[in-house]
Amino acid sequence: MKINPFVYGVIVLTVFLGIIFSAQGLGFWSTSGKVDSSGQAIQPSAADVNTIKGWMTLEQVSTTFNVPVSEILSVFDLPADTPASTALKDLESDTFDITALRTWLSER
Amino acid sequence: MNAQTLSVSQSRIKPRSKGIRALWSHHIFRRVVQLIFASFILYFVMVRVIAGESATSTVASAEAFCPFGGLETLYQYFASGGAFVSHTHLSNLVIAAAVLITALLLRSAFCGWICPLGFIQDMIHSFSAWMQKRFVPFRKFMRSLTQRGKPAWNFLDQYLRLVKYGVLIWSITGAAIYGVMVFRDYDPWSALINITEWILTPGLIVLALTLIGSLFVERPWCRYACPLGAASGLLGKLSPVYLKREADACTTCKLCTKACPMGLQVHTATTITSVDCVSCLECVDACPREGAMEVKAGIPLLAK
Repeated sequence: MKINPFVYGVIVLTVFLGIIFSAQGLGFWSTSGKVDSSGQAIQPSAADVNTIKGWMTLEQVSTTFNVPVSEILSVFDLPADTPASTALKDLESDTFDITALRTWLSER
Repeated sequence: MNAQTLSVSQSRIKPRSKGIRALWSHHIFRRVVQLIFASFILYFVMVRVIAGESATSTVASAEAFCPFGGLETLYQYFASGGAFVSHTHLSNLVIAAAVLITALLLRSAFCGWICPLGFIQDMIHSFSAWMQKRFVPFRKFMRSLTQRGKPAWNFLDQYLRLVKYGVLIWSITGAAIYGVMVFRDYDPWSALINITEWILTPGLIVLALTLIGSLFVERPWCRYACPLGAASGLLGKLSPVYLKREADACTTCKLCTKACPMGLQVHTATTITSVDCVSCLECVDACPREGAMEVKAGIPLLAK
């Protein structure tokens, strides 16, 4: 069956955007780690390390999981003078990333 | 008359559109679509730069719309029951699904019609072609790099095209094992949308090589290193859509091959189902004869 190139382009857009808009309509969509798919602000929870997000600060993690900032810095070989207001994602390096922090906190 | 029965002498030259209709070709349609998607991403990059980022800001990062981020976080998402690797969100998963389902139905159409990085490479190569037409020294320099119309490094082409499968395996398994996007620091797209951070990363060097390389080779990133294109191309092999060159109606003018941004030898094939085809349909647009080059749908894997 022959397909007109214009029609092909329209089908591509329909399929691609159709899947995205359908997911949005079903509530399966979020573009920020700060809100969930229903638009509610995400807060770190001591009961679930997966609630830790890259935008959260060292201070937020310290308060929520009751662990001193200095201990986090020490365990992950981060500079001791790192401000507590630093976002986690800004600290990512060979010795530190969010997954490693989650693992450490869950095992602690 | 059925196109399959046309011989070279019987097939007609496509009539040329006149007036305003001449401006509205499939090529222009595709460029408009590419421009809209590139503008969408540019909007989010600019908003992020202007609005800045703070703990209370919920402006989406352009990275939230990267389909490859969805593939990288897929294992983590299912293995951990809903957690994402850094820099990815539900949107990445949804767009990755959209790209792969589109590939399954319509081959790598995302690459040819939507991907902004593909569009940027297309534009740079068009600029190179424009420069060659107008500036003789530049044309002579470009010709000095070719042998019989092909780049001097063409003998490496078939081997370099395998690199993207290595990048795909490394980036997906790396993200699954380490829980971070190991590819991100080398990703030219990530470097481009975060360019205002002014941090020299390997990705920025890859981006520079890609943009400069686009002056000499069409879509160098897509041809040789794009892991998303590799995944999309492999899935596209199962698609019912394919390109058909009717040898009887074809004059072997090679315009289709010259128009192919992925450097495929379209004029020697009868059915084009290459994993490297980005379904831009420039070969169909370039073909001057009716019924010689068409897009067709048939039974997956059996199309002839």
